[in-house]
Amino acid sequence: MNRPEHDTIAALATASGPGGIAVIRISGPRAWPVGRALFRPSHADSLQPQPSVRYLLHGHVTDPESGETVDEVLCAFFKAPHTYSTEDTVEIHAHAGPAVGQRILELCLAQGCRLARPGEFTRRAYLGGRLDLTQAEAVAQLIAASSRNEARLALAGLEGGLRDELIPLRQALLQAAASVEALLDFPDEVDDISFPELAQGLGQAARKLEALLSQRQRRRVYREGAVVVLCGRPNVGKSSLFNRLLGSRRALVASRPGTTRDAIEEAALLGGVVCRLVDTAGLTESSDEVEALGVELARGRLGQADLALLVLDLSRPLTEEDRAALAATSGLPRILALNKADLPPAWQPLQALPEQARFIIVSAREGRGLDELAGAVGRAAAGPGAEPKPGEVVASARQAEALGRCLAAVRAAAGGLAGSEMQAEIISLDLAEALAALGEVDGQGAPDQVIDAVFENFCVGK
Amino acid sequence: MPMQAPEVFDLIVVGAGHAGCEAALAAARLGARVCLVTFNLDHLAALSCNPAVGGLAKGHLVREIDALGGEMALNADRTGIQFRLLNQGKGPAVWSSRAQVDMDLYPRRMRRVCQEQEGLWLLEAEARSLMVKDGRAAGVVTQRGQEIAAKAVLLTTGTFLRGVIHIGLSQYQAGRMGDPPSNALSDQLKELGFNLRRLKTGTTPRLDRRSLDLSRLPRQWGDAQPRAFSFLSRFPPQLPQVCCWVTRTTAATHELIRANLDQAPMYAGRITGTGARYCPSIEDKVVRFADKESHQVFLEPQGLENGLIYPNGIPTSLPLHVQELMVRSLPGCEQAFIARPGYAIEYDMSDPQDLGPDLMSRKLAGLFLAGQINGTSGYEEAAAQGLMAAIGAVRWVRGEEPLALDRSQAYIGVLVDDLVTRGTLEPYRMFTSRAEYRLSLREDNADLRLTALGRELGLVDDRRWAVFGRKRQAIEDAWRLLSEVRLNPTASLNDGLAALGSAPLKRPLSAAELLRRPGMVLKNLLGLHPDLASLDGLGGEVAEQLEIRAHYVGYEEREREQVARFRQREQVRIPRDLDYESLAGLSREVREKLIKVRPANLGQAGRISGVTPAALAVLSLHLHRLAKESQSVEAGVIR
Repeated sequence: MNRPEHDTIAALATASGPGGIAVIRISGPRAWPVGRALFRPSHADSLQPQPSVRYLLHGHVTDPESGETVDEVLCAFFKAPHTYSTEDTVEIHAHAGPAVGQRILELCLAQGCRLARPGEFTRRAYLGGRLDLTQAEAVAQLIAASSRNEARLALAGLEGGLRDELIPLRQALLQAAASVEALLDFPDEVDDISFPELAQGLGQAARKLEALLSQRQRRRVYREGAVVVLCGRPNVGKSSLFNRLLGSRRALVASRPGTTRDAIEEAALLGGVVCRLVDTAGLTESSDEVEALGVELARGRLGQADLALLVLDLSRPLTEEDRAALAATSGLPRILALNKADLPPAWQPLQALPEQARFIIVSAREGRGLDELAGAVGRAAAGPGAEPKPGEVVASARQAEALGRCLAAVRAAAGGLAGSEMQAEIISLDLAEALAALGEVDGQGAPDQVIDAVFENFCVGK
Repeated sequence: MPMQAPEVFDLIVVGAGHAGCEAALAAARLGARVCLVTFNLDHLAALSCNPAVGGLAKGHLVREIDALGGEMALNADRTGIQFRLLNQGKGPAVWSSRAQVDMDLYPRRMRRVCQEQEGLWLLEAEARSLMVKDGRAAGVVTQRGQEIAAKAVLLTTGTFLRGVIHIGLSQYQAGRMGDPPSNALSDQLKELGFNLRRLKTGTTPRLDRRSLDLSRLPRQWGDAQPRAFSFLSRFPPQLPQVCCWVTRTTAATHELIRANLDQAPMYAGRITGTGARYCPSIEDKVVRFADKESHQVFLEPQGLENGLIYPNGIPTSLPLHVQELMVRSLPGCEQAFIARPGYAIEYDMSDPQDLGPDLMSRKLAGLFLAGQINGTSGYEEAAAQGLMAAIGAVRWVRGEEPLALDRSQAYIGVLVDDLVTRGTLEPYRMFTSRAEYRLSLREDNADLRLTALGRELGLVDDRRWAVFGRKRQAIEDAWRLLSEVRLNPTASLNDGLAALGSAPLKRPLSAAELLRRPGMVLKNLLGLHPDLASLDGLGGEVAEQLEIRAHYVGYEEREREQVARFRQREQVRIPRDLDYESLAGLSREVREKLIKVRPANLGQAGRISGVTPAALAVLSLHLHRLAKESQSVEAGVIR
């Protein structure tokens, strides 16, 4: 029977495109037979009777049908469960670029492998119990990380950074729950519970949660990319600036559903930050772009932007439309790009622009000022605060949602403790919800934890 | 017509403690022919430890047993000598009833009820071994070689299996003080492949009342208006009510214990069995909570005519001479005479993870287990299991589907699910914190939760059903009225509220919403609106139910949503014969656990300790696929 996790999968483990090496990974119960069918070792005995585990073996991949040699390769066999996916695994390190990698992959499929879906090796590692949920999510992010900062945050997640942050938090909640439960189940014997102390402990837990959530708010751009919206009236050179900025900085990122269809969006690595550049010109056929800008504001896209990049034409006097656009973006984090610096200037920025406005003079045509602009956009889009430190932890969207519910429940419990009519059984309900939400983040949490904590902390029993 | 014993009983119950009696009665009331086998017919339903029934969370179990037509609540109501509702300072969900009962009268009445029960035969014998036929339990053989045949057997062996009593460093074999142990049965269970483990429990010394100076000690009385356990009992209680006395351990007590720890069998390494953390010996309390200077001790009369006092709070297995010094260090007990020493007892339990949700063993078909043999402690936990095992056995004998209460229905459901799913490493006691849906699983609504089910099963007789039906109707009618009556913020209404010390209304409210206010009771509402006057004649139980419902209305809603989510997983059935070996993606540890417990559904699987969310995802995927496959197979047949 063909069970969901019972087939053998294969994929190119290195990025497609030209490169020095292509790694083909095969994982599943038939990984070894497939590997043995394709790989011809230089030393015939290195596969006899079984391949040596975790050695890089030298040899060639040949097409079992035709006997044709495909490439000279290094090949490694790994035995379950001590592999990334927890299954039997074979990795073939082929020499050359995409064509060879693709050919070897096809040979694997011909041997009965299925092409792995995105993230499927990690999924198997999670299902095999090697990674917990936060770690699995971190791997997904690490793989998708397009900038070094993003990779750093993902790596912290992989090392259990978030899980480690949650340990003292869970401890505090368990402590509070244990006190409340002891009060309910052993009222005669528990007389030394300090409610102010409990409320204080919950207050600290709430602040910790707030910090994790606001850290996410601040660092979100490093994980998910900053949204930078290009705007300005027609003919100021938005599109050429858009393309110039992308240039070599174009980043390979997965497109987000729902965004590419209604806007021109491309990602670029600007100042160490993945920015998703949105060109509003692609949004509407309306000739009145300022009106379009208003429409955009109403739609909330600009409202969600981490940065507005307003383009103005330095070679022509400011128009009414320009002024309207300046007004429309005045409340947002923004940078003004004063384009067409290759032509004689028609106005004086320092006099014409509002006082705090940050502007950078560029020429999309000549490429002048673009590096400076890119750096400024990246820094401004990332918002205040330094780059993430090694080991810093940021919650994913899913984790943040659960942490948010946890925070609400902790606040309710703290409120209940402070209230004049303290209802322990209801505070307990809130704390149980808080612990359950926390458990959703890292998959930890067992029903007996609270009871164990009661016994550790109180002398109960007649 | 004389009652004729059958050739083959439907059920033999081995052991006549609280599990055994409840089980035998329930099975007989379901129409089965039952034989209750016990060492000593004079020790039926003995209160080996505390002369009390109920207590926090245990009161919930007693009320649920009652709602299902069991006997424990009625028996406690008739023989109770002090009734208290615990936790009254907290919300109604955690109110729990506790009664001290007369330890001579409680067993006597239970024996009378058993003797009068049609279809129930009492036999004084040692059930030495099980008869096994075709891989099924087929009866028992007594110490006299008598073979008693039955279609099912229920073991409720309490502390008797390989029981060993410890007092100081001396030890001897006993089922409890004054009764022999049951060793042969334990050997046979081991041979049959049962996973037996040792547990330990302990009890306090009993004191001669005449040797105590009680007049100096503070007294603790029961409630002025005692509440009955049973939904059928009408109070005030029949027996005279008595008080307890409160004393405390002193610095001298603690010093004495520390000085003699080397003679405590637990600390001297003589006991291998695991004790319960919630019921520590006084030795444990002094060692583990060294900074606590004193522990309360309640001096409880064992009965109206029983001359002994039960000092609640000092279970001990120290040598007798140390026990004596220790007791005499308590104020009021300076001259105390120990009439019966405290002791620890070790006994065999059988791993409850080997049981199905109906408490039938997977090791031997037709064999059911209930009570301490499953690792629990407490009369109430035992009785609850006895009742469920009887239901399970009768349904099995009749070829009916097994029945299990789930965690959202009853504390009994929590109890059984905890045992069969998670097992237990220490004597298991019920706590309200074990129940996820505590706000809905209350003592007061046990009948509303369970009596209809009891009726369906055949455990609820006509009288109980009629009483229950009237109450339920009255509650529903009154609640509808309370929800419909709108109270407007008129001057006269607000005057009425002011007279009650309640804040004036600012906007119209339903009467039910007004009842939610803290301190508001139904009685207060009657004069506020002419339609509400009709609620005047309602009984106290009904009024209380309305008040509690108003109190928890939003929270119960929240719990209902949680229950709905809980039920989703609970409804994903796992085939009994699922081949876990062939399921890829499970670690060996998880696989072994699943094979051991054989969860009935996905929810239960998730509660097995060590079954990770990832493993659950694998299982869920597989079940999903199985369901799809069987669907397509069915579709194929139709075509």
